[in-house]
Amino acid sequence: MVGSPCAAVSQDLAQLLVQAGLMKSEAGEAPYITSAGFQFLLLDTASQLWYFTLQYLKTAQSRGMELVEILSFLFQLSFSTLGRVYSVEGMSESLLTFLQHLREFGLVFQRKRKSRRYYPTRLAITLAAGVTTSSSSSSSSTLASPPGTGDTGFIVVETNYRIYAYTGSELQIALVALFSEMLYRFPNVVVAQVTRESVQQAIANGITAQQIIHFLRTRAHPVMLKQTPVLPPTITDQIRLWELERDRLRFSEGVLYNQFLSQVDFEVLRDRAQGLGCLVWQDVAHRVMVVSPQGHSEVKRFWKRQKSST
Amino acid sequence: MVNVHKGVLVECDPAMKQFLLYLDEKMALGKKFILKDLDDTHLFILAEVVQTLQERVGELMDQNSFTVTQK
Repeated sequence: MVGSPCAAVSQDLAQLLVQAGLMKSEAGEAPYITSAGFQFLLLDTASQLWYFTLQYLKTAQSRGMELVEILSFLFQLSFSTLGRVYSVEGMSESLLTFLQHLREFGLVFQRKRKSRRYYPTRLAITLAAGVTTSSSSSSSSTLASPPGTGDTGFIVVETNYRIYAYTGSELQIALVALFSEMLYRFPNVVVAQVTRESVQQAIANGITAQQIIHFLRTRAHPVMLKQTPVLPPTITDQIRLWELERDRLRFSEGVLYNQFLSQVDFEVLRDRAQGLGCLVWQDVAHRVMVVSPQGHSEVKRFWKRQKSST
Repeated sequence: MVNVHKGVLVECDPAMKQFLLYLDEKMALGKKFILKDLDDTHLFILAEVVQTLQERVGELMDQNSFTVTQK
């Protein structure tokens, strides 16, 4: 499913991607990746697997599958042994469909669709091991590479904004290219450069700076891991600054109240707005306040009542 | 009498506020868009210019940046 340039996926899988909100397709157009999809791509394998499995289970019942049956098979799968062959004998029709889906996700291997045997892959077995909580810190937990992925620790980041990714995997290269500009490509290594434009492009796609940094850190080459901090601070700071650059203005819709005749009037109305939790901003000295649009009608009604009573 | 305006509250740093005041004064968006100058870091503006403003700020940032790297 991954790493193949012309990956044809089944209807069910394509639908699942749309339902999970990772991709969006408008009628008559090729589906495209949403910002949630971009964020999904930068997660580590275990989190991706779980996210995807949960989404699958959520929609399983609408597909006419028995949730209990699927779940018990999934747990059974995680207790099976790598490299052993298992038979599909005695499996129900819906379970066989599920097996075909798992085959598509890469959780089990079957030589042919009609084959009567299947082999669980490493992914299926580590599924039950759960997600190792790898926070953004460079603690040792992030260094422990999940078994079977084989592609952890291949990125070298230099202070001159260059990224060297020692990988031949199409997927990994595509991931690096999400937020950098490709310079050269060799059989076992690609050279890319992080630029302002490329990072801003990624941010426009919905990826956060934190996710980019996390991606680089968790996939850092063993050489990089010897130094602390793992990534050059210039790079991490700059990526964060590029993100902040976009948020120099903060907008919040609202309604402005000004030209109050007396301080008392202002304070009464302000306290009311504050009580409703819709006061956005106030300036006591100039008797100006801003109320959120949701609270406006209530505050207005209060003011009319207040005026008629005095 | 209380005056009521609908619009958008903008919160920004003082430098950014001066840029917005400059845009307003030069009529860069074809009209005045600042409804009220609140304080050093707050402005109250017309809702319809928000999109254009963000583009203008992006342009300003593009002008102010230079490539730190060489290929």
